[in-house]
Amino acid sequence: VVRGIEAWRRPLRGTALLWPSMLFWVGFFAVPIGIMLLRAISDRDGFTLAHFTRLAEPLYVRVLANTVVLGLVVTALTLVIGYPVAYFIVRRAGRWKGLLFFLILCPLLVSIIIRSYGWLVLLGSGGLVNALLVSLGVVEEPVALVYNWIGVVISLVHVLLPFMILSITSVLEGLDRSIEEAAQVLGASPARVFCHVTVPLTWHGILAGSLLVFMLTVGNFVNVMLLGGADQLVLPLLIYQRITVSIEYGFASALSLFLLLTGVAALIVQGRLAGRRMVA
Amino acid sequence: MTMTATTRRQFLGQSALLAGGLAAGIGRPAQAQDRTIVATSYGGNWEKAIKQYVVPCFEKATGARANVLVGQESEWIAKIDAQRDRPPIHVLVSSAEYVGRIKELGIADKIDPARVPNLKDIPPVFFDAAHDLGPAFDYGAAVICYNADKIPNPPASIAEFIERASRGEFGRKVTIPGITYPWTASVAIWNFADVLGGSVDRPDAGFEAVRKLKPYIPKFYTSGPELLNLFRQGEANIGLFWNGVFQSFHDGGARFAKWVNPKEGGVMGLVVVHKVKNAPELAWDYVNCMLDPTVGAGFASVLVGYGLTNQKVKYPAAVADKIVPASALRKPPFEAIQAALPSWTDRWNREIGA
Repeated sequence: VVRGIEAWRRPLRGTALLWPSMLFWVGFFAVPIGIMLLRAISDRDGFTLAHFTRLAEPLYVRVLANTVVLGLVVTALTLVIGYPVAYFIVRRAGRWKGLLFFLILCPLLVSIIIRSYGWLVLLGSGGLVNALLVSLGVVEEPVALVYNWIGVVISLVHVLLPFMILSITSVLEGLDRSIEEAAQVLGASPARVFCHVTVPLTWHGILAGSLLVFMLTVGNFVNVMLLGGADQLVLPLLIYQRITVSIEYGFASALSLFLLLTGVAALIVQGRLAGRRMVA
Repeated sequence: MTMTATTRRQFLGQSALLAGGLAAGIGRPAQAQDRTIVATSYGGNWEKAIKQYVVPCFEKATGARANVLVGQESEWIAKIDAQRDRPPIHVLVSSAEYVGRIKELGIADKIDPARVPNLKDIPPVFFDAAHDLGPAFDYGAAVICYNADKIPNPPASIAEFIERASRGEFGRKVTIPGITYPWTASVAIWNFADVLGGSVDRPDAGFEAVRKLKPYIPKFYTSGPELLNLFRQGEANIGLFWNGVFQSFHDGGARFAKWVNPKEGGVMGLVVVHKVKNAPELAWDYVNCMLDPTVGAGFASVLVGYGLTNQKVKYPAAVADKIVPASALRKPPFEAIQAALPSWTDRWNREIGA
């Protein structure tokens, strides 16, 4: 009996450090998701799949496509802008590294609403950017930079860029420089070393940053609501409408699960890509 | 160094004292909780007026305390619905647009005239909106708001507004609320349908009007502050909004901001006050205070432009002429609109956008 109890105790003791986080996870993630699922599959008459079948309507398919495409575009842009910045910070910034990190994190210190209103002031028809474009003769009339996808993408790239930069920086910093030097000694040009050695070795940072940015983009609704127009319809906005305006908890829950599945799909893709790269 | 030893008797004595103290302490908050109610309020001047006039009236009348919870209806309704037996909110202030849902969920008590003496001074037009769940406390008017510097000759009616705006006369500087704004169904869809010969059952004309206006709307606003920002930034010169907030915007320094009540009558917006089911009886006293004429006069002095539903309210001279009489407004069929809202939201998303 003692041996049996001991056999149970050992693995429990081994996982004891995980219990607080598991409790937190169960209480604040698993249980709410369960409640949401129950709401999504029930209405006043009992069990129903009506909320889910509605999701197949063209409107919701279009909205899902909008959401995913927005996520991909913002992820691609933050990667293209963020990678060189991360590279510069790790390899060239020297004693300015701390200051650069601070400047990169600065946008996160300001509330998302204030930041969005800031973009409205800058990009609006009477804003600084348009005034500059008109005064320089680049355009005759102010151009529409807000209340469309342009404004939404600019504001999201601005706010999510630090997540990409920090993810890539952490991997770049741990990169063994001798591998790149070996490639150079063997005659590879700097561009070739970068494309064939540096980027592949920072793949995990790229994937982690991309996943973070994608998830945060597809779940964002404040920027879309404030800087988007009538045609910028994404899943979080639909969920917000169903909860605050028409108060349809069942359908809002189904939409939320749909959004969650988008995130899970991104996670699976990231896992596959990470695994494939490791095998390679 | 000398250490003080605690004898067993001393320990037991101290423990008994501590236990007694704790028991007394536990009892006290329970009593205090019974004498404290939680009432909801919108933010900004609303909260200011509630704390300045309604809360003191209630505390003076009952000797109890009232805590004010600022937020919005969907959040309050969800909280009450989740804890029906011991609701965390006792007096629910809500827009009439939500009354249908509140009734359906059964989270508010039927009004008890015996517990709300001020109810006798509330005309029926302000009471049936809630179907005796609770009376309306104040009303606003959704009117035509415009920038007088840019539009010296504003439309006099909703029909004229739609006609001139959809012709492009005001340029791409028109704004109306979008479907993420809780009052859009009455302020835009029903409003347009009503003046163009439709109704809540035949909203096609309303949707058609919105479709015609869309090319001239840079942004369907989603909140009051957003609308004011659109006017401030010069992104909008004309739109539909509540007269009271727009009047405060004008009084706050935006001298260009003017409004006109359309010929057909602006859309009446009602704020209804409910006693939540299973809330302490004290909540009735709070409801009664909200309907008090003296409280109402004070409220009107803070929230300029909004009319109070109690006929005995004597408005301060400075604000009286800024209130649109209820007789000059159209009252939407709130409950029918609430019932149509899910399908209208879908239709709006399909045909108009966010």
